[in-house]
Amino acid sequence: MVLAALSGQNQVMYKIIGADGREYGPITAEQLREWIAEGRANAQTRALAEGAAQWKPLTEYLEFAPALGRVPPQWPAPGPISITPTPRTNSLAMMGMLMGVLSITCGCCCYGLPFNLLGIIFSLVALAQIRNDAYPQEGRGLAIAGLVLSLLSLLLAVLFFAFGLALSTPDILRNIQRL
Amino acid sequence: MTPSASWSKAARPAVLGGFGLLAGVAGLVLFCFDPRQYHFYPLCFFHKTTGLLCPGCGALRGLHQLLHGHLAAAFRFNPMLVVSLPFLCWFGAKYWQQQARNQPLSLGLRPVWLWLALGAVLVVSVLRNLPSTSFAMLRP
Repeated sequence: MVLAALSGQNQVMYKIIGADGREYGPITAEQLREWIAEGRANAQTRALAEGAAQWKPLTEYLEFAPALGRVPPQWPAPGPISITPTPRTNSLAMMGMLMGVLSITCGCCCYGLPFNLLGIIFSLVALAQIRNDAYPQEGRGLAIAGLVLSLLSLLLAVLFFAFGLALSTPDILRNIQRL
Repeated sequence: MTPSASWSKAARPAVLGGFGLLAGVAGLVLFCFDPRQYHFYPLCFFHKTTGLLCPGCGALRGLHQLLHGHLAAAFRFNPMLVVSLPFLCWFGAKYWQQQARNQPLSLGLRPVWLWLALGAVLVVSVLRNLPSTSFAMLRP
């Protein structure tokens, strides 16, 4: 039963939509695999299987998973047929922002210490990732906010540490003299 | 796998163990010594120099109460700590799981929630510094 379905799938024809918005096909699964290998179609390319009602991205067609996996990730895919994927929020930007909020909250007890340093690192890496990636990612605002909060927390920590030290210097000197 | 990735994988148990040990010792000290009586804890320089309450003021005393199981008392010292702790534990566990499974790190949150969290922290921080008695529950 399963075998029959699998072998039957080879006969299914597919249509795909290119970046230019035009329909290509119908073509066989074998031909579509070749297109994937050539980079003319990628995981985000929308495809319609024969008899199906809905256009879906190629990632959702299990029969093309091996073919898509073999292709080195190239964005945007070369060739006439490519589609820009929907932008995703950079996860490190989210982490940076979370660390920023925590560093401001904990700024008082331990100078916000683990969090402001982590926040700076996460946010900077996120900004670099967002800038260097060929396909659009969201989260630039988050990363910048995380960076600003973390830097503010670090600056306040240094400022208040110096201030506290200056305030208690007479005490410390008096203690030293008493020794 | 890049060298840095394999290094971080090898160092992971040591780092986790180190942090776990540190947290355990800190927790034990905080459990045994009430910050209201013992003054060897780091002081809040923001509070010392400006006299204002920072968002984290009362967190140590609150944590001490929480370790003793006094949820209401902990809430009185720092409501933000008590509200955020379950979420932080959840994200920590999630982060650990993703690291262990070698999955890409993701908070699984919409960015809006982070902005809301920042807004809530700022609003509570301002409110707890207002002299009105109606905000007394936000002060330690």
